[in-house]
Amino acid sequence: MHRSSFNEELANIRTSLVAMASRVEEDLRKAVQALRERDEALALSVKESDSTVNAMQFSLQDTAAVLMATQQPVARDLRELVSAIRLADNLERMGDYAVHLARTAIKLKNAQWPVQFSLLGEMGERGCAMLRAMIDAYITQDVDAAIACAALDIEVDQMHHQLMALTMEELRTRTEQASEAIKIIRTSGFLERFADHVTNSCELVIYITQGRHTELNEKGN
Amino acid sequence: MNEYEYAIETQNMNFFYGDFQAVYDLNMQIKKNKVTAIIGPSGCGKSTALRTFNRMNDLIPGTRVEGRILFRGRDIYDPDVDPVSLRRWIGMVFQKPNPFPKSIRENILWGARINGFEGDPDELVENSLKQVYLWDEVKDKLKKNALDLSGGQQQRLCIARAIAVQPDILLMDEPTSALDPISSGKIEDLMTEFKKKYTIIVVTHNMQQAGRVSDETAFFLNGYLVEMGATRDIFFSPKDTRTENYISGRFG
Repeated sequence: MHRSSFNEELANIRTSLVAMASRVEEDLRKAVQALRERDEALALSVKESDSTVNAMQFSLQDTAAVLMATQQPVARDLRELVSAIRLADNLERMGDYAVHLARTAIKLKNAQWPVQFSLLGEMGERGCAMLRAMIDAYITQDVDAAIACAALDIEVDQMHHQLMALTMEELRTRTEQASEAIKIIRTSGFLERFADHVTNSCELVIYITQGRHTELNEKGN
Repeated sequence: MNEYEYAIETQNMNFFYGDFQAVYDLNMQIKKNKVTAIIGPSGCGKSTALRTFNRMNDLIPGTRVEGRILFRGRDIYDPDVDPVSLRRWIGMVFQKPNPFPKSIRENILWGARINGFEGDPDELVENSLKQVYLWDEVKDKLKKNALDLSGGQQQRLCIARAIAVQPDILLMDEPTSALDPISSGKIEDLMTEFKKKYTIIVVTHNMQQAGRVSDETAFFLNGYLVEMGATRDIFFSPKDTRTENYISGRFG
């Protein structure tokens, strides 16, 4: 097959991205579990995973850059490599958000905010589901699947607003736990950002496949 | 096969065309079973250096070599080295395809016979042509004159001719410059495949080709080896500014 080594290296980049995404998804899942079960050891394991995720990002980006330097890809191949670098950035940020949830699980190990914890857990689970769906869309180059995945972000936004409203209401009578409440709201914000990054990644899947920029979930798209 | 560390290496090699020095103090080690690309602007000494590796420069009057070139533990310029038999171990493919004005079959067999080949000639012809993916195209016309083939086919025949004698090293001097992009692509694919069996050294003025096919790249300028290293390093973060300027297309 012509240019077989280039095709192989391109396939390796795809595999690396999928591996990185799987790792981030697992980290977020563990962080949610750590929060629900108040499991400090599990939360710590997520924190430790961060350096591996970062290393995967650097390795992937260097490989993509070297491939561009040595193989002069054009058209879809080039879009794919350029997007791989951006996807790796997104995944690295998502990994950071998973770590943030893990840190919150540790700091709030003894705190009592059952409704909020439940919502945070659900938001985390939605994030995992979205990430899985995005990776499937990436592997199968399915634009419709990418759009459907991005639509799940709306629910996560709604949960975030719900959590903020509830917490601010509750804060009126729990002023001594204000710092806990702030941590919870921040974490909610980070999980909302997690879903945003998945949406952005779905936009990149469309860019790779069709070469056009989109803003999913904006009015009129 | 060659159990020495490098496929071939030079030590303080200087090369002269009469009074003109074309290569200065070359210390170069070629890794086995890799594709090494030699790049650099016109007149930088890359083809000259390549031709010293199998003493093709001997055929040019007035040339002189100083220093050593070690192949299989011996200096190839030792007085008791036979340049003709050296060229069986270190074969060469040129920019302009140069098949013998003989049949396709004879092109493959001639060199093998001279080197004492005693096996089945038909098998050798078939194996050699299959390795360069030419067999299906010419199997029914092996007696046809090689000069009737297209440029790309002729070049693949020349490669088949070189590997028919099972060399250690294949030297390629701008092997695709005279060919169209599709034929060039086929030959690039061959280089990638062949390094499993042979060591390939290719001189090319096509930097993108060097980037695509080579594992190691050596950059020559004005007769000097400026920088040599893994191709991914040379093309991604070269150490020398001159290398960076050349590969970025700023001169040459």
